Amino acid sequence: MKTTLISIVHRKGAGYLAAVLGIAVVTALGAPVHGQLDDTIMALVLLVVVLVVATLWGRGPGMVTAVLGTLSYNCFRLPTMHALYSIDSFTMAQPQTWIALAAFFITASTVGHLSITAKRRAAEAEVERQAARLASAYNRSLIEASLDPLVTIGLDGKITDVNAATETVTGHSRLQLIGTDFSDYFTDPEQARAGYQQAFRDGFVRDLALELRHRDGHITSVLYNASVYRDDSGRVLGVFAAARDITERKRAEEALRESESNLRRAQEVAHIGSWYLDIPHNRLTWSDEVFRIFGVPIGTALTYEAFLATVHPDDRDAVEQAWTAALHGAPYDIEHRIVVGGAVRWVRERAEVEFDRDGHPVEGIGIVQDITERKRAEEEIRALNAELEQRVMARTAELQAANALKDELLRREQAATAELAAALKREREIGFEIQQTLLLDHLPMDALGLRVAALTIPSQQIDGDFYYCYKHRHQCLDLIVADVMGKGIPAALLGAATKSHFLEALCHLMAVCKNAKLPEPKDIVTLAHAEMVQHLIALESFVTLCYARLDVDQRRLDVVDCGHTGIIHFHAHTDLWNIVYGDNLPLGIRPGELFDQISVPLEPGDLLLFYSDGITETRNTAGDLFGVERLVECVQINRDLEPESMVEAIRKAVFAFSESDQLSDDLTCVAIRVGEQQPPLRYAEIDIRSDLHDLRRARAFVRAVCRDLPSAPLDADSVAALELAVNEAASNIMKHAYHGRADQWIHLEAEAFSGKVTVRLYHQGEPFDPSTVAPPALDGSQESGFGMYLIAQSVDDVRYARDAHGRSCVALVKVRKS
Amino acid sequence: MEIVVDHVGDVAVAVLLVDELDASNAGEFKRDVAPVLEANPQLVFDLSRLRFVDSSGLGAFLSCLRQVNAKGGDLKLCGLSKPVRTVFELVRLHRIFEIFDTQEQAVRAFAP
Repeated sequence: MKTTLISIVHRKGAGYLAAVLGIAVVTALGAPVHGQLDDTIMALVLLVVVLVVATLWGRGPGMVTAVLGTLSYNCFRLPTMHALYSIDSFTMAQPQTWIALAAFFITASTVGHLSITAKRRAAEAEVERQAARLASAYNRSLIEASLDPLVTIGLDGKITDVNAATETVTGHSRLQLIGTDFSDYFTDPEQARAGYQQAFRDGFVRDLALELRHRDGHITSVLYNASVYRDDSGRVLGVFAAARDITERKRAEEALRESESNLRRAQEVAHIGSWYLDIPHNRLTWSDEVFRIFGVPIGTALTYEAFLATVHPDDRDAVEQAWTAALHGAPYDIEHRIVVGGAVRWVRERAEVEFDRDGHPVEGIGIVQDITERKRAEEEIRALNAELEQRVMARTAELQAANALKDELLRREQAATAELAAALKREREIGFEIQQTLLLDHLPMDALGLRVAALTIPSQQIDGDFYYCYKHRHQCLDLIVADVMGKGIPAALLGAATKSHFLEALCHLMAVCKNAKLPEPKDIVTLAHAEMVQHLIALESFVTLCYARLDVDQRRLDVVDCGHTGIIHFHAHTDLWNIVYGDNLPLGIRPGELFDQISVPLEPGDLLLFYSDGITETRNTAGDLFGVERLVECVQINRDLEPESMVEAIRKAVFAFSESDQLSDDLTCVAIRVGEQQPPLRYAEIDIRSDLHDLRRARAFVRAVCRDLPSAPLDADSVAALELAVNEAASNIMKHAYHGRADQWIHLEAEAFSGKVTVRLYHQGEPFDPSTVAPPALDGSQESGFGMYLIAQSVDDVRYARDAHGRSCVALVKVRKS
Repeated sequence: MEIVVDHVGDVAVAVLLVDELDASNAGEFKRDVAPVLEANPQLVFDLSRLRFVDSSGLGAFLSCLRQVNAKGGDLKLCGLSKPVRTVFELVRLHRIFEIFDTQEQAVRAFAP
């Protein structure tokens, strides 16, 4: 709005309008009171209007105002009003009117002219100011663009202006800086002051090194260039100072200095010096360390020859040759001696030679290392090594000799040990063999209605335990259980001898007995003892023995106990037990001894356990004996088991007690269960030849045994099956055990009971292991090999064993069909 | 060993006149029956006299069957007594041999 008004005011038309209005207003205001006003006042008022219009709008409107003002004045000067309305009365005859008119014109003209001129000048000045402003801004921006801190300093040393770089380097704003003392911003104000004063004095100053302090304290190293500046008249106004930040340069210089210093120190420490040879000019430059190494005062002028002079005379040729080679491109890496003040030192030198384009050597750059200490150490190590080697060799030889001796001894010891072990093993094997073949008997199976099972666990040392079983035809079974004093092969042999003495005594007495009666056990023992007692006494040995006869017919046990362990007897009917002991001396104590016999009644279901002291004297890790009580307890717990399971239970109990796999003594025990059964309904035996044609005799024997038995245990089919099984078993014996020889014999024994018929086939042929026979294929692809299968299918039980007389036995049992 | 051979049409019927066939006479039987096997591709063994046969006897019969089969013929059995049949069954030979109660049945079995 303001702009609009001004523009209106400035318009020329507005000036004329203002002229008319101004005069009109004055006239209007003055008319009612012109009586009171005198002419002069009126004229002045109008003059003011003229002045104003001329001033504001120039000469034209001013002149118009002057004319109008004159007219108005003329009217107001008339004494009456009519003059206003009468043109005739309007006259210019009054001299005042002309004067006024002239005054008005002059005023309007002069003022209008002045006003226009003033305006033009103002406009021109404005343009100039504008141009100056632009120039100033341009200069300013140039100054501000400078990265160097720029400062102007007044004559009084105060800062008059700064650029942005100065603000940055000092940390103060421009306003803060202006008017303050230039020297206040340096670490050394005095020097700074001296600097600008010099500039004032000399007109300039160059490369004045100063340190600017930032407001936060950090220092910037600068070089100042300053010069005075002057006004148009040449008067010095101040100093213009430009600083150059040289922090980085100073840092680089510092680093270089440090690096050089480090290098020098490193060379000192490592005893490595460096050198440079200007080959064309034969100018040799050494680092300080090289001087030290070569013992030459630092700074001595050097040449290649000067260097060569320090080399040990003996090494000089080699050094020269190496250097000559290096000048032709060979690598230069040598170790040689030098002589320093009469002392010999070792150095290592390495160098590289630079060549110009034509292949001429230009310069050599190398290092020298003092390796005297290393050489000395190497020498010492060499000497030490040599000595050490000598010592080691001597010691090695000693050790080798000792080792050889040790090996030899070890070998001998191993050989001796092996020999001993082999001998012990052999002895054990012999003992074991004696025990198995001569001492331990094959027990009869289900003989006379007795179930018999034995346990024999040979220990590491064979100790001559044996048992022997003989089945008489008179429903009696004789059992000898014995323990020979001592261990090993002697005891085993003595056991075998004892056994043969008893057999001999038995045979002899049986031969001389009348009425085919069996000799009494006490007589057998007495006779056998009489035969052997002198030998036993001579051998200083003795035998404990128990001769037992189980008479099934009479249900009686006859026992001759010669110091043996006794027999545990479990009574089936009462569930009580006792140990049967006799009171005879062991065999081999007293010649002419007569032995007593005791008899114990047996009932069906009774259990007898014969045992060796190996069982009761087994010790556990605490040293306790297994003892008779534990054995009895074990038997009692397992009293309902069959003898096979019973002896197995005893074995487990003993091993569990001993907590060991190795026993110090043989374990022997024989368990016999007296059968519930009655004597057989029929007993028969027959011998057939090992001739296939005798197979029909075997079959006829089976049929005959089974024919007309009371209570008929087997029906016709069962008899036929048994017949087939016996036929196949006999056939196998003829073909395989006797290998087809027809001149041998097979003994057949048959026992018929009310519930079963048992046939045993005894032969002296090769023992036969049925487990090696594979079952036959039943698809018609094979024509033979059915024998074993037919046997197994035809009877209820098949057992293979060796009997008391060393014969192989096949026992076939056919049970009555329920 | 006595073996009586009869012919009924193309079929030969061999009657084994032996009570027992075991390891002692199985070889003899095999030898004596060989010409019969040779001459008669369609053959019936009448075993009604046989009271006992053992594994060797079974082997002999199997041998006969193979020989006849090898020539494209067949061997059938008849008249097995109970114990003999039991032995055959024990080793499952009743699955290998065709076994009939009577000669007539066996001969008829050859008819096309």
